[in-house]
Amino acid sequence: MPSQLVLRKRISSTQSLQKIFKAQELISASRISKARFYAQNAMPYADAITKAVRAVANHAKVEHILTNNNRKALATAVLVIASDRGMSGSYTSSIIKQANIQIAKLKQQSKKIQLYICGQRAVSYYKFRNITIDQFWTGHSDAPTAERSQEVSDALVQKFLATSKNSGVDEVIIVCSEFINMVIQRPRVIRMLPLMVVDNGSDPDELGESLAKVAKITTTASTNTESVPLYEFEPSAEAVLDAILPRYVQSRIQECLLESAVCETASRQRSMHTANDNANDLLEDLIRRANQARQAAITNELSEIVAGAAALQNG
Amino acid sequence: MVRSKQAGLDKSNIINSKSNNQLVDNSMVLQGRVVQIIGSVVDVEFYTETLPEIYDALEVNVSGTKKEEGESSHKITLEVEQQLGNKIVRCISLNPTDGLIRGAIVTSLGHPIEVVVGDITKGHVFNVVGDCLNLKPGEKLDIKEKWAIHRKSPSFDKLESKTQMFETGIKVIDLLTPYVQGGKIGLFGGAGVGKTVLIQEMIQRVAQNHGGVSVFAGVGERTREGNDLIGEMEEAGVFDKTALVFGQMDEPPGTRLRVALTALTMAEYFRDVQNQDVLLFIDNIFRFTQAGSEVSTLLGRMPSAVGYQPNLADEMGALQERITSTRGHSITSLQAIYVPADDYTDPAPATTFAHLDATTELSREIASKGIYPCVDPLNSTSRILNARYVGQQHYDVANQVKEILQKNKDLEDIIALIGIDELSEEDKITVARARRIELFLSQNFYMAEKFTGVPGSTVPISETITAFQSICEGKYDDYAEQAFFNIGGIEDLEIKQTQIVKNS
Repeated sequence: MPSQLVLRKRISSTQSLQKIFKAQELISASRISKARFYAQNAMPYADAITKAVRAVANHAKVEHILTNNNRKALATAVLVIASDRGMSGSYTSSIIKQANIQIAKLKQQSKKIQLYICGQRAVSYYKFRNITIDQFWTGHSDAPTAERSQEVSDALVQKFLATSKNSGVDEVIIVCSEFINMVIQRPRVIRMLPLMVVDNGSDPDELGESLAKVAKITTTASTNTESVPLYEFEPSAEAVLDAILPRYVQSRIQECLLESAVCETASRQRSMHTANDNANDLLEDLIRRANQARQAAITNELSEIVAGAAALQNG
Repeated sequence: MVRSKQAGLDKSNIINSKSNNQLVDNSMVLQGRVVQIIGSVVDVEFYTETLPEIYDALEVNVSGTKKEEGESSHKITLEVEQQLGNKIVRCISLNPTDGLIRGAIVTSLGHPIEVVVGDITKGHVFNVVGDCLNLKPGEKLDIKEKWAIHRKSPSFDKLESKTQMFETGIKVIDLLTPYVQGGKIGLFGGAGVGKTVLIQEMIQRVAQNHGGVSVFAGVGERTREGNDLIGEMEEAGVFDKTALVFGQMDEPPGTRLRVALTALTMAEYFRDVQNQDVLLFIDNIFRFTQAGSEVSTLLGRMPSAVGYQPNLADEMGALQERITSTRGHSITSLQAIYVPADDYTDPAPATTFAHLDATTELSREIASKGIYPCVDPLNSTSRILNARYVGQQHYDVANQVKEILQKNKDLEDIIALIGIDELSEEDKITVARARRIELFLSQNFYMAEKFTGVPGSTVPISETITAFQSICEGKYDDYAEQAFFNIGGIEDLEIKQTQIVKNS
């Protein structure tokens, strides 16, 4: 039986931990609405730019380097979007797990891997294992800025344009997480480059079976339902694509970062809630044991006093 | 019959003065009568001014005429504890006092309880007063020598000064609480954590590899366990190298208080006269203290802390100081120590602690994880876990193992609260290794074969050290945790890992 002192110490340390958990839970609860607000506010821009890209791609039947699917993929860039801080349950580790599965798969296809990482936790994970990280960005994983997505997309597009012959890559995959609701978030893998223009409804860019298919640039569903305006491109379709595609990439990355931020915050709120509950359970147990130890000591002392007095009387 | 001198008796307490020589003279038989019986404490009044000495044995015959089975008579042995004045002595009974009546005639034997010693004790089972319990019909003990059970502990200049490790082949014990050859080893543990199983395992292991004699003292434990032990020893073929003395739970406190001394006296004879190395097993030394506490109040002593006898430390010291090694000849003793309510600050285990060279703590927490032997790696220690005695490598590895386990323990609360994912990468690895180490500290026992179907294993200390070193260094980080459970050395680990890989 541990002494009362040890138990009291553990109780007080658990209590202070519990305060941290509670505070974290409240903070994430207040931040989650903000994060969702940002994510939703990014939608109109993303929709608009998607439409624009689709329009250009539909009308000008041109091959652009960013959309060229016929390139033989020798090197792949994997962008892992995780969190900067802990206390978010299995959020980071599930993303890393997914990323490792993807990397293993790609390695099996004897592709070279370049690793790009957002989020301190993932960075330290790979650094600890002596896995080379090509570039990483840390800070503000729970509230990503447009500058951040710009930096990331610039780096990736640049690498993609360089192609594998010049230490670039032929393929870019993003491992991030998908917000389904407040309780469920799951890791998700997106093939970012070469581009396949999609709208939100269908998801041909989810990795897996679709990776094998050579995707078409145009999405048939949308061309049929919408009446398509007539476009004329100035100075040329290629020039417009050149200008618009990097923005599209940036918008997609921004979307991933924002969604991941929502997931991170939701996951943090949930895990802190669980931690708080766990702390309560532990406290309850510890307090009971401490009380028991105290009572035992009292009983012991009492019985000794009584026995001593009785012995004195008899003697 | 040679009767040894009554050495080791403290006679300074004797109240009335008298000539000792007269008592030894058998022609003058001291007689008295019972004047008071309180449970197992009996007061006897003598007719003469001459009284028996403290610790002398008295005998009284009880005729069981009132019993339905017909007329029978049995002998009750008493031991003098106090001299109360008015020619009255207070004794504790070493037999149940059923049928004893006031006025019954008591005869002093003029010497303390004496027990058979020597080679004849091997392969036999005795009770506290030295009666053989397993004589075949018609068999008679050829008694050459008898020794009194109260003796002096060896003097300082005769004590063994050399320190040598006693290899058991049990990984956790050899690594973390190495036993001392000729030392005192305590097995602490609450009820049902496997003290007795570990003692039996040690008997099995040691008897197999150890040429010398063993003496087993069953003090206040289950009678069934004593029977099992005899059966198992016979099976293992070590029974005829062992003397067993039993005073189990059903016996009166006086018996349980003295039975350890009886066994110890037999062990001392092997050590001092036959110059042998002896193994003394005591299961359970706490019962000795408990018995002392039971008679203490009846003897009129004022209870001390937690109701124990006021002379707790003295009683324990008198016993423990006799269990020791003299130059060249050792008594290595292994004592199971029950810890009441798992409270190590209880006076009984706390008093015993001080006498031990190595303490092996058996913990309920580890038992509840299913890891046997459930030795608590952080609380078990040994005097010789020191680079001077066991060598630098052993010491370093043991410390490293403890460090990893301690770190894991510190992290346990955090893991319980927010999950293992929150730990830093270094801590995650530490936790993973700690889990493997914890499981690897379990071992398949010879005694457990009938439960698990897995035969026991003996791991040499050198192999144990290299194995744990490799685990600490992370050589087996990618092995399945389950592969580390309930196995012997590294070879077993490799075999189990291949099996697991094959099955998955």
